[in-house]
Amino acid sequence: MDRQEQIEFLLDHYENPRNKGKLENADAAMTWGNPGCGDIITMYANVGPDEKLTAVTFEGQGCTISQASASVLTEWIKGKTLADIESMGHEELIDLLGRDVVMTRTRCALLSLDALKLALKEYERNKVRAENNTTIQKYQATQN
Amino acid sequence: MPTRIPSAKIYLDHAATTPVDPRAAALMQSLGNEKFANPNSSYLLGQESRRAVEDARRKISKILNCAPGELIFMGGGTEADNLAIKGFAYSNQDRGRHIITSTIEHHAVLRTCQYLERRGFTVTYLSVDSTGLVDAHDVKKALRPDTILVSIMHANNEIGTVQPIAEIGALLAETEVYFHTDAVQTVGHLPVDVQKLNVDLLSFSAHKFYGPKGVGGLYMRRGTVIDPLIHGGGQEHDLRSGTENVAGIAGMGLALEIASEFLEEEATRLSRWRDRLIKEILQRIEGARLTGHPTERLPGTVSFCFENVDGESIILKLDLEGICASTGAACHAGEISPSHVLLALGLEPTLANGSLRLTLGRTNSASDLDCVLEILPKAIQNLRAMSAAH
Repeated sequence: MDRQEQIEFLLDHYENPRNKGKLENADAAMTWGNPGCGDIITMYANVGPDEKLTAVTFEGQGCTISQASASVLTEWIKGKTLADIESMGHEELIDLLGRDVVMTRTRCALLSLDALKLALKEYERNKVRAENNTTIQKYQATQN
Repeated sequence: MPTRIPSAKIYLDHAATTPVDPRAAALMQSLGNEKFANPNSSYLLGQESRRAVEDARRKISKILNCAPGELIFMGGGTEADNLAIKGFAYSNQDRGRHIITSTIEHHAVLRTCQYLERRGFTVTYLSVDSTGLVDAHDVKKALRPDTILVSIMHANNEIGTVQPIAEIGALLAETEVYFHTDAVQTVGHLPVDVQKLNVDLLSFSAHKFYGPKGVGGLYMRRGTVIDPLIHGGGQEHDLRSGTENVAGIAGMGLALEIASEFLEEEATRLSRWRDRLIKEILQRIEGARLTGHPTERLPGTVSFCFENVDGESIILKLDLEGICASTGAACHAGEISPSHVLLALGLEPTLANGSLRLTLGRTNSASDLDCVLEILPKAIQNLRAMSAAH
């Protein structure tokens, strides 16, 4: 995309956000924001059995770039796995959004990806915790 | 009139920076290529460089109405503000450790003051009225026996409000307190006479008046004692060591000479355009609020907040139409909160996020105004319609 198309692309995502809204009973959710600034993003995700993201939505308010970035991200990560998201670097999202349009505003541009990564980390921690609890319970059952 | 500098785009961000005047650029090129010698060298070639630096100093001193020896050249407005405030504070702390400034200063002043607070100084930040004006009486009221310095900007870069510097200067002249003004937005645009303003220290920056980037200066009234921030070879009265930026300084001198020659003519032209833009934007766009003072403002500065629209979206929309403008919205240029200036005027953060600054200058022609007045209302209407749908 040239600069013109990239700006139209971002404005379209800001004004007509995709996958915006709360995902009820989401497997993973995290709210993240820039302190002192209006930008706030909550990313929701459901994870399938093969660790693929089956649904991703966002809620939030703030500037054009932070909100457009969240919308773009929800479309881009369809069908991606947890490992894909974990390995996705900041640079990749910046390129996706248009480097020369968002480079002066990386803090806003990256808010959505950071929120999603944190949500999925929390999801994995909870999963490990749940597995550990099951193991402990099983162990305790054999002891009784 | 000064040569109009053609631009493929409609450039309405002259307060951010200006293109280098072609005559200044030509002079700089010759100083960079043929007359490249170090001005601190005694041979003839070196002395030609010295002459270029001193010519610029004379030209600028004449315009600011000071002695050439009262000017120090350095790397820009931010550095000048840092030297004026930190340099003065360090060397005068025996007399007191209290500084007075305003809440709408440029970060070069505000963050320098905040730094000094962490080093044991006390700073009073004067609030401004809803048009951005500092009240001279507030300065007087804030004075304490340990006050050593007052720093108030000449004109604000975001809203264009011009402060009553001469009034504050006259008031402080009766005291032992020194007075600094950040005149980065006014030198080359409004008459700046350090005697009439009654200031002891005054910062300026070349790239705001069609000179090169990375060069600026500080006026220091004779007898003002400051500590250098940069130590080394002792250049610039030992206050700013480092080999002089000869081409930059010469370019700055010529650029200011040209700007001053046409100052009145240019200010009249830009004020007329500014007032037309303000009037017609208020008429054509609903929910538009002028920021800054209605009359006491920089000739080329138009600044607004628009309800229910994000400033960044406006900038992107205008960019699509080839119009370069800026916003004081949240996160702008890596900032994390809406412009401190707009918040200081008492604006709600949501309204401050819909801010737009258009600054006119030498690249503009009358037809640019027609273009902007056609495109801007449509862009805002369009953005509002898009967001109302969701």
